[in-house]
Amino acid sequence: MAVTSPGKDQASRRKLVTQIVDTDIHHGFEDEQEILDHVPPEYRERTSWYGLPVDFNPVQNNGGMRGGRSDLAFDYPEIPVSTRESSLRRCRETLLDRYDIDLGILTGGQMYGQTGAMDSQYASIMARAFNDWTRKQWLDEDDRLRYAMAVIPLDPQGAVAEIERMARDTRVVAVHLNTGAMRPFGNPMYHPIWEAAAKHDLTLQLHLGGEGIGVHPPMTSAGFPTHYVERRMAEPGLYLPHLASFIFEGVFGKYPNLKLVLAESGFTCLPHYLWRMDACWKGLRHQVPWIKELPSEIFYRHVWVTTQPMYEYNEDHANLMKMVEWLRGDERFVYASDYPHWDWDDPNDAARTFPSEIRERVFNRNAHEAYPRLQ
Amino acid sequence: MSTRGRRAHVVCRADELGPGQRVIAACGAVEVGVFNLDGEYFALLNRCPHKSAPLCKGVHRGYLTADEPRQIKMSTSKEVIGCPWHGWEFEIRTGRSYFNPHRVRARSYDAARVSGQEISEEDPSVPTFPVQREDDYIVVYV
Repeated sequence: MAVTSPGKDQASRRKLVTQIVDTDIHHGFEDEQEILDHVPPEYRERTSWYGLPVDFNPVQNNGGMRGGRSDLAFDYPEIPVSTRESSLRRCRETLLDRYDIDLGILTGGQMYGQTGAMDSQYASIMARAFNDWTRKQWLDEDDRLRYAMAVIPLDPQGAVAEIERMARDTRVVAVHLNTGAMRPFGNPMYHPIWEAAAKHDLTLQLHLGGEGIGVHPPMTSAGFPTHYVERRMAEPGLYLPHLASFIFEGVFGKYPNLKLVLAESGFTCLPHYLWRMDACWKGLRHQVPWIKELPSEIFYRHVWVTTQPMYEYNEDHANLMKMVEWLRGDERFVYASDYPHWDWDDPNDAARTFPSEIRERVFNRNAHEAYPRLQ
Repeated sequence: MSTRGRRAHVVCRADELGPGQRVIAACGAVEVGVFNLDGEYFALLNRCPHKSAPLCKGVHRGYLTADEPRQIKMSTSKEVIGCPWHGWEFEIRTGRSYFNPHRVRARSYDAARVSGQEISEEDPSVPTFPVQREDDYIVVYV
């Protein structure tokens, strides 16, 4: 119903001008449902999962059910889809107990965006809170669980202090990093963090996330892609610059016991990248003369790769075995499920996929080498 | 390096090849790069074992080393030739490559080998030739 202004004549008498035009008056809705009623049905699923107004999280419209396994959401309707990682009970019932997992490394997720916060020191406070909460709510509750602790690399001093604080807990086996970053991780600005990690035998666990959030640049050098599938195609490019940077900036020469795990990078992108690093080093060695051997040899001593996502080899077993050969996968691969995400790898299926002679290595021995604190 | 059984080729006058300089000359069927390193003379086949590029026309510089990141040192002698194609580096004094790619390159080496040269190393080395200063001239024995 249109509302007419009362006393218009009286008000206009007080005006200093004949007519007032205000060009900026903010307005809004009280309940998101009011807007949802106006969203076309084919978009309502997305808006109901990601909320209103539009969420600019770069992984918006992830696969599965908001990035999660919809079968888990179906079986556990009481757990909101927006907090799918939050239930230790469900994790036990549908992963740890069901598949008889002996040791599992928690990698979080809800702190990934904090790595790009403008106020890095505030983000470090959040990471510290998440670390303490994880110890209390998860590690203390289940002795199968280990932890890749959260740090904020853009706050190197805070990250070092947090590593020193957390390293006393033997259940902490790794320092978790997200691929989103201001500079690639070989940059000397980060070296104090790697020094602290190396000092305590904490493995660096590099996982996608944080790119395009806060101060972090977009996930491709061509800017932000439109769809999640395009962003997913950009994922190898999230990891590989960090790998080259770790190697060519001499991080592994400076900290010889430092170990790096590429988690969820996929491995099929790596043979080409190792070949390319070797080929380029032969002609550009003089720019990085502290690198005295083939970059791939440094990779084979310091870097491990998770198996998940496994099935990017065109489902041809011969291709997988080529990858194992090219990457020395019998030594470099560590199993990861990525539970409870939609693109996870079932442990039994993954175990069957690898030939029996390397199965033990991929499912436990390599992990014990990659994470020296794991026990 | 013996000059026995080799044919002498005058490549230039000695005063045309000062320290740190190089000259490229045809010596019979092959082309050779002759380098003056601090008064010593060295000659390399002007052909890279990688892709047969004219190696001796490459970047001529000192050898860059570093014991730790960003602490680069350069040798005072310009003892390195970096191939103009793909940048592989070779030691001018010996013709040896500065890395060790024999595992992947040994086979292709034979195809790039210049007939008449006896190369036994597995590394893709560049054939070298004896050079002498004879009075006012630089002479290569090929």
